[in-house]
Amino acid sequence: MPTAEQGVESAQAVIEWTADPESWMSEEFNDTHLVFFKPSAETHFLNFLSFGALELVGSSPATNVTLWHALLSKFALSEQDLPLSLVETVVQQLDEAGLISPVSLDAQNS
Amino acid sequence: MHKTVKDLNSTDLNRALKRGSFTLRLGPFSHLIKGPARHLLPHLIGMYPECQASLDPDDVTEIMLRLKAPNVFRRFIRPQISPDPGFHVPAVPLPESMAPLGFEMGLNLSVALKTCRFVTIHAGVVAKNGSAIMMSAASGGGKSTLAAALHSEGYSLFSDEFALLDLDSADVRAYPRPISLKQQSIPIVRELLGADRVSDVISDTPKGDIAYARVAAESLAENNASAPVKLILFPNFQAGAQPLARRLNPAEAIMRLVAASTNYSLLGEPAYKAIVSMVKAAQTFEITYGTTEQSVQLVEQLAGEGPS
Repeated sequence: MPTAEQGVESAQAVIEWTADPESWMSEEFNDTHLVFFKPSAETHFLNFLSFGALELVGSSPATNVTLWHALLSKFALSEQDLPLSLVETVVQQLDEAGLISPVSLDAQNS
Repeated sequence: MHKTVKDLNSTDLNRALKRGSFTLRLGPFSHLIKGPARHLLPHLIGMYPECQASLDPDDVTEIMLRLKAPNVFRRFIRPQISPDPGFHVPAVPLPESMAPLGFEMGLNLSVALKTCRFVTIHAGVVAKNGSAIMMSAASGGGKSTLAAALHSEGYSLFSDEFALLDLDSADVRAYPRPISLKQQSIPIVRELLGADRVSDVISDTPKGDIAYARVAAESLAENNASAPVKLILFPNFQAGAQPLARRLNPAEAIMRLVAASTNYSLLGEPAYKAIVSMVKAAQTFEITYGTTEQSVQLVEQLAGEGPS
């Protein structure tokens, strides 16, 4: 019988994240990205990894793990360079900033 | 032919101020003013003599400011005034003798919170040879002293308090109000611009000692000027520091300007586009200096540089 904590962890692992590429505008300056998020009218300052994650999630919904693999491939990084835990932190920060959101269960089931 | 403040008869001006029909045209705004003439009139004549003005309201007025007593008792007993820009602001009532401070603060509040045609950025702006230098700093960072020093070196003063960034062209518009001076900057600017250009000190205000410096008539003649920004500076005065310029990543400069804007969130996407467009065409530096002379040399050196 899984504990409540294990249940939350496994639920987080299967959450798919999505973003609407039409909802932001961005400019790149020296490997940093300025992102203006239209729904909140807030401007965010993202490093290459966070912006890469945002772009990937914007192109197709991804779980933490699928996003991790996509980022490893996109930036030609090793698992030592980019551990899953770092991607989870980036995802959490993008979620807190409102730039990405979980795919609704209805959408996942349909 | 438009009249200026100094052309108007002071009795008529006095009456128009009391009636609330006095109109001051400065930069892109028409200001309709009502206030205690006894203290406001000397300030207007001393600090805005070359400004276009009339005794009757314009057809279109962007800014309406009334300096009025916070309650009926304070009209008569130790009279006080509060700026009323037409919306509630948490302003501390001031003694009526501080009407010039209330007036300048009230105009600042109106521009900061009501303007929608421009991105308003808390920054000083000077211009020379058709291009502008923007200086954004926190209060006490030396922005006004630096603006006054550059003005004394022949730069037109576009603004001491608010840069007005055009949403379409990303150029800055001139809005040459008097330079607001605090504490130690007062004697420095008196030395730079001449004592006749600096008002009497208003002591013991909530902001400490305050004075205002009159903008040169030539800057007021460029009342409707606009210019592209070629240099964006974040000045930092530190007594005794050696002059230093650190180039800023444009993204960092943009984030700082966003934080210094009073209407960025209100305007949203057009404000983002205008600020990005301005910064992409400019050079951005954080500058540290220990004396006013150093600051001027540093700015002129940076302004002389070509694009990076």
